[in-house]
Amino acid sequence: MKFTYRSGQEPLPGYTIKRGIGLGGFGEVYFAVTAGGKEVALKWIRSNLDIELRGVQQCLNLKHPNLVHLYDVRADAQGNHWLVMEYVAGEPLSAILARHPNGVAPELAAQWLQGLAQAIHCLHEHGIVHRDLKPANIFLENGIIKVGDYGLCKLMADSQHAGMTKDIGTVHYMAPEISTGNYNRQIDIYAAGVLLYEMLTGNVPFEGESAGEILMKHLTAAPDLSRVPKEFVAILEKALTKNPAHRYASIMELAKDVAIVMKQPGSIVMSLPVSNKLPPEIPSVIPVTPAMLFQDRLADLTGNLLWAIVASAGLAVMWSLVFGAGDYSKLVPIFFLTLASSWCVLIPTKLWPPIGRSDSWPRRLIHVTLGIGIGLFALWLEGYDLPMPWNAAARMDALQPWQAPFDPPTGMRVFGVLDRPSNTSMPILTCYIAYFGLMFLVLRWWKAAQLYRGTRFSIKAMFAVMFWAFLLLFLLPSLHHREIGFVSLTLAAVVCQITAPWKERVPIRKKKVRLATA
Amino acid sequence: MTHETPTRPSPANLHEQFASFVLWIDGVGGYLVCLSHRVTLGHPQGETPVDVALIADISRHHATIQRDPEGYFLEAVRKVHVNGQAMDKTLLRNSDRITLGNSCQLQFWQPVPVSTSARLDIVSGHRFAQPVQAALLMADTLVIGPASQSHVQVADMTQALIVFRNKSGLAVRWPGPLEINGVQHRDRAALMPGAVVVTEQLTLTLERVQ
Repeated sequence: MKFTYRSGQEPLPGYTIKRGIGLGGFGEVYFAVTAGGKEVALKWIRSNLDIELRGVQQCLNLKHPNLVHLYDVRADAQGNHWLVMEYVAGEPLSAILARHPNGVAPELAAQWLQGLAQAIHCLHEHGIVHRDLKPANIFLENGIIKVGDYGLCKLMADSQHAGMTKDIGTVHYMAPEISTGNYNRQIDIYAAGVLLYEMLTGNVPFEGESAGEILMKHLTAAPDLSRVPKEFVAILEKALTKNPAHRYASIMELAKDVAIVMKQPGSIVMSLPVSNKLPPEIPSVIPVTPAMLFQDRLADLTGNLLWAIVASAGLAVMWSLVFGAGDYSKLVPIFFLTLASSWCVLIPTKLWPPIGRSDSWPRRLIHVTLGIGIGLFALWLEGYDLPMPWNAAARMDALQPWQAPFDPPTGMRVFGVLDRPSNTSMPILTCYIAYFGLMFLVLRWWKAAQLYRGTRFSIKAMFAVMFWAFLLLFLLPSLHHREIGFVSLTLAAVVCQITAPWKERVPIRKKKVRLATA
Repeated sequence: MTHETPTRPSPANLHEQFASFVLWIDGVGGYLVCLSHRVTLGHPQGETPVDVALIADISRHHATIQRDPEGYFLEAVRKVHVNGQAMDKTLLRNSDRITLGNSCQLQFWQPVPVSTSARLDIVSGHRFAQPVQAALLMADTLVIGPASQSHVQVADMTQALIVFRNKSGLAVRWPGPLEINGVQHRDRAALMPGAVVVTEQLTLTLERVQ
């Protein structure tokens, strides 16, 4: 072999040529070492420069373990173009096949075909047809197939020209439709079939004295499959079909069939095309609401509280119309209790927005305190005097709720008639405090008013309130008290949810996903 | 014979000239040629460079191969197995597998029956520190030819090219015209570091290893 450049020369600055690797119609390939010590293969592109450069540029950034990597295209001082490539230390398949004139073991051939198929699949996926698959372009490095010389557009415009190709080796792998100027990916599948045949038998399917003779056999003769292991016959028949439409539609179908006949379970998985299913969309930016100032929160809260008045009034009236059966005596206490309860939920939740689950108990404690207050308020609404020092001093004859049993007050503070208390064993003060206190302890009321919640209005939250309000009803002394307590707490749950502003809760991402996007 | 050098180099200054060199053969490969009868093997990170540096999980000086009249002796400095047997010192035979450390495996060849020169191939996927295919332990001759009984087999050649030691240093024998650094010779010629040898069938370059 006669190479233009000798060992030690540096036609391309920074790359010292060590030896020539190969010659071809396209140019010369050298083994070179960079100034930094990286081993590369340099291809001096001489023919069809523009076409070749265009083809190479499409492939420069392809990455696949079974492809010889292309690093760069550089021009030297003389204006010659050099393709800087990965240096593959292994042997070309042609050298291996030369040592095995009767072919290699079917297991090995099948394994190599898988690597070859992966590489070709990668090219096809990127819209590139190799066009020049042959053993000299396929390398084996540490057992891994590396396909090289892709992206170099061969000038094979017509069959006449192909017949005059200098390198007769290429003709052995040419699909018949190349004679009609058809260069789609089917020609690579045909070439892969020829390669598989050659790996299994040591010979190409069509041999001849001249390129024309070989091409004619590709067009007309049927390959002799009697030498091929019988499990491969059907595969090769399909891969070497003259009509590209009857061939394997994709190289991976061929690889899959080979894996199946060779019972290579691992390879089947490997050879399957990449799943088209995209991973679930992950919000790349977690929506963060800017922290609100206290004044903003106060303003926000005021609005909510005002809306709560309207909502409480509306709901109380609606309730009276639907269930009250014309008894408006309970309307006012229900309205006030609903309003007070909803305010007691809205105020702490708005001023101290919940963050996570860690602050549940301090919150409950606040709610219990407020719940006791509501109990006292309810009692006051019923006409009882609260156990305040000034009350005790002012009206000795007034109703003293902490001394049980008591005569009921003569009338409600607002209007209406009070039932006789049925539960006389407990002071009515204790009853009210226990009922409202417990109601605010057992439920996580802030969930109904926090900004980020699952839905604006949750019927489940309302039922939870109804459930507990009903369960604890035994604490209240009479039907009248029970009705007011139950209804006002239920309505409060509704009021909180419809007045508190709502944003959809950001779904908590799974840990794996969080880490993946970090 | 064209080696008209004023000072006839002795074997001692042959080693000064060459100690070891890389033989680059176009279209074939690169070969590290060690001329010394005692060759050290190890990792290239040591302070004193070893003759055959291997990028592998081995010590800086892991083993020594010594050429004696009886043959090549492998002396272990660290853990060495030959054909799976732990060894301290052993006589190497053709196609022995030498394992340095746990994973780096070399195969020892003496492919040419009439030559005591040997060849070391890495068979475990490791690399020489030099970008070469194999290390050649050159005794008297190196045969580069088409036959399998060659130190470097080149299938395309029709006859063998032989590199040999003579009194003045190294020389090359080729049945036909050959050109060394642009100077025409016939049949045989002296070699010097950096020589580029061109024949009809082969081009090779000698690069001195620093």
